[in-house]
Amino acid sequence: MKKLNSERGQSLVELSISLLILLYLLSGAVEFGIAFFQFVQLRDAAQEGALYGSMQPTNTAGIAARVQGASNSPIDLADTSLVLIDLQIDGVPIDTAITAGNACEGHGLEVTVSFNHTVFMPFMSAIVGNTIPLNASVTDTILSPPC
Amino acid sequence: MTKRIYPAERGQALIMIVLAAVGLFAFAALAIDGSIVFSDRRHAQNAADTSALAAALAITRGQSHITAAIGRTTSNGYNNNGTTNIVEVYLCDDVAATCTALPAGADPTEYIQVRITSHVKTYFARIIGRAEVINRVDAVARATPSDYDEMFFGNAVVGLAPHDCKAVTYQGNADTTITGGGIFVMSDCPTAAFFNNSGAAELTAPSLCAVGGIDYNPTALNVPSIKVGCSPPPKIAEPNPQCSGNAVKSGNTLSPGYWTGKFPPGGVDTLESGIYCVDGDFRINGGDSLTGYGVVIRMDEGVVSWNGGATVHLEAPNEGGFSDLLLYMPGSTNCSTITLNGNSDSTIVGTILAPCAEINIDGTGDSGIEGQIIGYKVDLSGASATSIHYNDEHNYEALIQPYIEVNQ
Repeated sequence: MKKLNSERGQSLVELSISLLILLYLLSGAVEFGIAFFQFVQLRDAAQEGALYGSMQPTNTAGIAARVQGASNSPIDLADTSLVLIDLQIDGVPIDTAITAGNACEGHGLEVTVSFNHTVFMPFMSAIVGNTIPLNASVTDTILSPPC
Repeated sequence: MTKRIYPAERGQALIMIVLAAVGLFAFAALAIDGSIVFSDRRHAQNAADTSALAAALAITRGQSHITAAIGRTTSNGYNNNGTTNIVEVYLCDDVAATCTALPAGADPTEYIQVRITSHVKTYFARIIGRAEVINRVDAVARATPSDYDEMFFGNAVVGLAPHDCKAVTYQGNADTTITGGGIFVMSDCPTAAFFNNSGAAELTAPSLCAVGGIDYNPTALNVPSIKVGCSPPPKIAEPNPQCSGNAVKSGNTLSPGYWTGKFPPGGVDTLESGIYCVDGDFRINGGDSLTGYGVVIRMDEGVVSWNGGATVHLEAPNEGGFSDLLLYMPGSTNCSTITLNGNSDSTIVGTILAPCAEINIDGTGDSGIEGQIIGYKVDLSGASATSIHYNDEHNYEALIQPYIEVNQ
């Protein structure tokens, strides 16, 4: 059977279309991979802050410094315009808990670190929006001082 | 001219894409699912660690360790729902516990194991038949409730400085013999303890243990057990001996109570039994003598200096709330120096506790000190022989504070 001229380059067209889809999938994987990496960084920082806070629960500046100093890549955690740190004890803002005398052993200190991941892969924002909010939270038991 | 396409080449791109897609999914499974599984494992381990500590703390406070442990894992995302995760809490003497790394001689009832089994669902690996991966992590913590017991594992000489180098030293030209208990150095400095000798002098002790490191001349030590990197012993609650009324001098005798100024006052060579609260230097000069049985001396201010040639007979009480406590310098108020130098006629029985003071043992003669010597720093560099004997029956038992630690 004789092939028609119009079928020439068919493989190239198929590959181009498929490649577009594959690259789109790949860019999604890269985007979410980076976001996941950032989430792990946030959670490690929250863990660092919670661990410090379990021994120094009233030193809120110290806890925040531990979080901010945990790492600077891929997110610069010291950039307070991008990274938010929330401290709570048993679900109550830490300053209130300190005033109430609950920043002591046995209570749970929750450190939450938040960051909005900006989507940068082309066309990806059409699906997931311009940013992906990342929130990492770790709760440690306060070990000192005694109540 | 037209080109013939062989039938075998039709759909070639599709096959390549399928193969490529399989490869991409395989790598995606490895990268994404693997990352999620490792991330979950890390998070679960942190949750188990803090949960074990929460359980240990609950035990020291007389609360339910199971409730505390599961409460803490729940707040970290592992709520023991039986499907996506299972949280198990055991004392290490439970049949179901698997506490494999307890120290030799450990009491398993003091250890709590928290085990988290997490079922992590996969996104890509399910294509190759792996719908979930199971993470299982363990943490073991130790809880020792507060209790009255011997201090610092019953070591005869203890240096409490947490970071100072040369917190315990021996550089003497005379022998120092320590029996009944060893030497413990709390400092984490690489040269937390320093031992050197002059001539053939040596320090003899049953054991030497330092949190940090030890710098020593092998000929200076006759110690069968030398260890570094030791775990710090539990902290103690300092005693609080109280005086009532002022001390009163009567002839050569002083009655217990508060005393301000040089201690003992001139002409006094006998202390009646009781508690003395001293605000002044405690000095005994060479040739002087001082005798007191059943005495507790609390040094609120001032140094302690006993010169060589002084004859000292001081014994702590053997009953009551401060039994076997001889000399106490509160760590919060008095960081003055203690210099002890006695002669072979002296008898000193009881614990010397000075958490903030530097203690210099400059020679005790053969009779030595029967007690436990606890200072911020301790120097054993006397020019004459020193003997220290630890006897648990003659040493103060302090309230050991609750102690928790992660072991595994």
